[in-house]
Amino acid sequence: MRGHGDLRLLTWGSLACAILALILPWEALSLLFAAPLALFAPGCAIVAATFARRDLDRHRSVVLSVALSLATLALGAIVLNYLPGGIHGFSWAVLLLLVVIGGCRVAARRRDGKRSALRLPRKAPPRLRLALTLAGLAAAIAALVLANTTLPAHDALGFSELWIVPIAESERSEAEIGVRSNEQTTTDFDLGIQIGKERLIKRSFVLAPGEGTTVRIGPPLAAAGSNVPVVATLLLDADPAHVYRRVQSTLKAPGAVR
Amino acid sequence: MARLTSKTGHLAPITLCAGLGLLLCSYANALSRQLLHPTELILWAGVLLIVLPIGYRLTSRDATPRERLLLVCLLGLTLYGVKVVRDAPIFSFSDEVVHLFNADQIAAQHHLFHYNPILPVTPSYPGLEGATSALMTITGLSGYWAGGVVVGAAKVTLLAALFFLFHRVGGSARTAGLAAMIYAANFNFLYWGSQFSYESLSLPLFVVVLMAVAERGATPRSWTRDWAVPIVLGTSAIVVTHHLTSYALAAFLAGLALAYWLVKRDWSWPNPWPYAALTAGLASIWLLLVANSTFGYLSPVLGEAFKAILHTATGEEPPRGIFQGKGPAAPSTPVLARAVAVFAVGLLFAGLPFGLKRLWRQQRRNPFALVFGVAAIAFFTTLALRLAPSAWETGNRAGEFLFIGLAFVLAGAGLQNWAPRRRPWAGRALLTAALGVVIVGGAISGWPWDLQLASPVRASAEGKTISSPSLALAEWARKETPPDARFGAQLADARLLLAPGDRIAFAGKNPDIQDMLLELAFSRQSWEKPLLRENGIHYIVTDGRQISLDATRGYGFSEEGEETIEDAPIAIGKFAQLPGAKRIYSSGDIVVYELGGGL
Repeated sequence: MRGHGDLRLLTWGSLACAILALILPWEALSLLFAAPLALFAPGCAIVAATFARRDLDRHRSVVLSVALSLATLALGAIVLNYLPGGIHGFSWAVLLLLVVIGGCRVAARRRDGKRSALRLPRKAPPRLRLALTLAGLAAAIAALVLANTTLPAHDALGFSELWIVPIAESERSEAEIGVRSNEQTTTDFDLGIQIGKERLIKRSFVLAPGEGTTVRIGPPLAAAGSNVPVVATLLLDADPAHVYRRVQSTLKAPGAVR
Repeated sequence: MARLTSKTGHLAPITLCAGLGLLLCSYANALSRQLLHPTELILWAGVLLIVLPIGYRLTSRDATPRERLLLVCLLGLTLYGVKVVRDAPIFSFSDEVVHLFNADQIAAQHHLFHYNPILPVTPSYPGLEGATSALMTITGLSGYWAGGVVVGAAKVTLLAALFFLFHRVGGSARTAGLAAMIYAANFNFLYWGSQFSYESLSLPLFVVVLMAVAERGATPRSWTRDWAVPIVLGTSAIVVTHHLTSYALAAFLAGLALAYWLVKRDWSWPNPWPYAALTAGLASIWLLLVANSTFGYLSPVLGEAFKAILHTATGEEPPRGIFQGKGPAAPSTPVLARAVAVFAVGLLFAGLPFGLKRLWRQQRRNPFALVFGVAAIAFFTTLALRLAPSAWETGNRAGEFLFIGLAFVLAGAGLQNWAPRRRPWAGRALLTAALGVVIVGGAISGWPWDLQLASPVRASAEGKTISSPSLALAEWARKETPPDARFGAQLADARLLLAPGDRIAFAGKNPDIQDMLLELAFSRQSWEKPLLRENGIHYIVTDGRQISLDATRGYGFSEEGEETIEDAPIAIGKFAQLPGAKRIYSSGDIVVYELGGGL
């Protein structure tokens, strides 16, 4: 690709983007390098190879580059699906690099020795225009930040969750009872857990909105292999006469059945 | 004073207006997410702040083709932003979560074609999710962010490709810019067409293929082979991405081939019949070898649409009321909004004869223009389908493709050239105002009024984050149930259980989970237990909220006075009577039963 500055830049730039996108631990920063690698470079290489002997204007070339990159991604997933290892970040990066390198090599050969230098923008835009454009960009970013900001919604009805799930490694002899508050304010709860007919566990706790707590119960004291019913009842401290939430399950008493 | 204009003309101040317009839209949605019920006028003011400056500049004679291209790209990007600021930070359109589940499955399992319980046909068309998986796996981003970037790139490509297509066919950059902008008035452009769904990728590729075919026809024959590469690549990508778009492309290219023959009486170059045949062939091969479930998916939709047209035409069935929401909780559209939407359609219709007249005079030897003319007329016939209840969706989908022709015809009507001596700006001003009306009116026609603004799925309380009932259920399921857990739930709950819940969840009528959840008791025939067994469902989610039956509205927080399903406690209670059933989760209206050996 000697003498084709644009193709060299595309190839080495794609390689750098692939490496940085894969190794950077921050997703947003990784996207800065992955986006040109996935959404521009493959299409650009295909356009360079396809129209190597023509003067396709720059704007059409850019639009085709993005479009053909999207097409490459859509078809590339099918290619990777049937290759050993399947669809991974690394296999994607390799596939995209192969498309870029292949396209650039074909483009360099098809150009018939016609060399193309890399053209960079000659001058920066006037300050006022730049300032207005950046202000527009800042407003768009502010819009996105606002959209991603969690805001209060005082009229939303708060609620709390109560659940009981067996602890997998205990073979259903133990369970976890969980409470999570999605209430609008900090709330006092009373949790009552009835295991079988006799054992009653009581817990009182305070949860702020978004907070949760869990209680681990079991194994039950019963004949080996028997199922012992468990009922968990959640009450609001402010309204103890009313059952707020109730769940039920069973615990299996450990040990061999005789 | 520094100059504002250059080769890119007034782009800088217009970019500022677009950014501020987007910020205003985001502000309207922020108020709505706080359940303050703001007026939708704030949203429309934001949209108009985006649209009007771009529209007015596009009507001018002195903008360069480059500036026009950048303006339509800016329009595409910012109008896509209007959808993004409505939905962040999770997808909330009913089809989006279905596709997000597919993308998550690809990224997690490293292969395509995983089962989707709600739309089983979607994994057979993995183009969008496959593309999204590239960004997900390389960067570690979630499907929401990766999918948003892919759809955003596709949206900008759509408008840029439309500009080049119209430029090549019409020969005028001014008309091309206006036509691309008019396309943004199609009913699905603002919301439905911006969602994370397969058509959001396939439609831009469809336009790119048309653009390449148009370029191929306008360049020397020696270039033909060069243009074959983007056409074949684009077509192949469409075939693996979306069924209807691949059939639409085959139909469009066949129509174009016929138009070439009518004009030139010749099937040889540049007649594009080989590409029509290629598209039909590729789509058929994919349908038969990979996606044969498409038959079962599309045939009832099209069959019902056909029946509905017959029944409505013969008076057997009453016509569907326009602006009638689909779902039990759908409120009606206010009169003023309806008036704007109807006025917008009226404006489109009023411009049609002028555009067609001009097209016939100047371009009747141009095969592309002829096909666009036919598509423009056909668009208005699809509006009639909206009156037949089951044909509504078919008409809505077809409209997106036909609107390409309508946009071209209307831009050629020439209102921008009308310049009375006293008010030479009048034509441009009128056209700009009309663009504002048709874009806002189109959005009102295409998306339910009460869903134009966001509803909260998360809220902050005392500095912490709380989740809506359906989202809390999904988050709980993801954390507390086994990865292979399979749920039966109402429409809205099931979708969030798919994503972000990352669990298999069935809903609706196929299999008939909905009737099982709503019936007061198990049937005498006892079809429910075999259904649960066959689908491996071990968790049943009951939800007493009426809104949980609505796949477009059921994701947000409840408010005071919200409707409940009649007799819900009795219907829910029947699951407790199943032998071995355990009531393992309760958040008030939502209860989860783990079904034991009683099945």
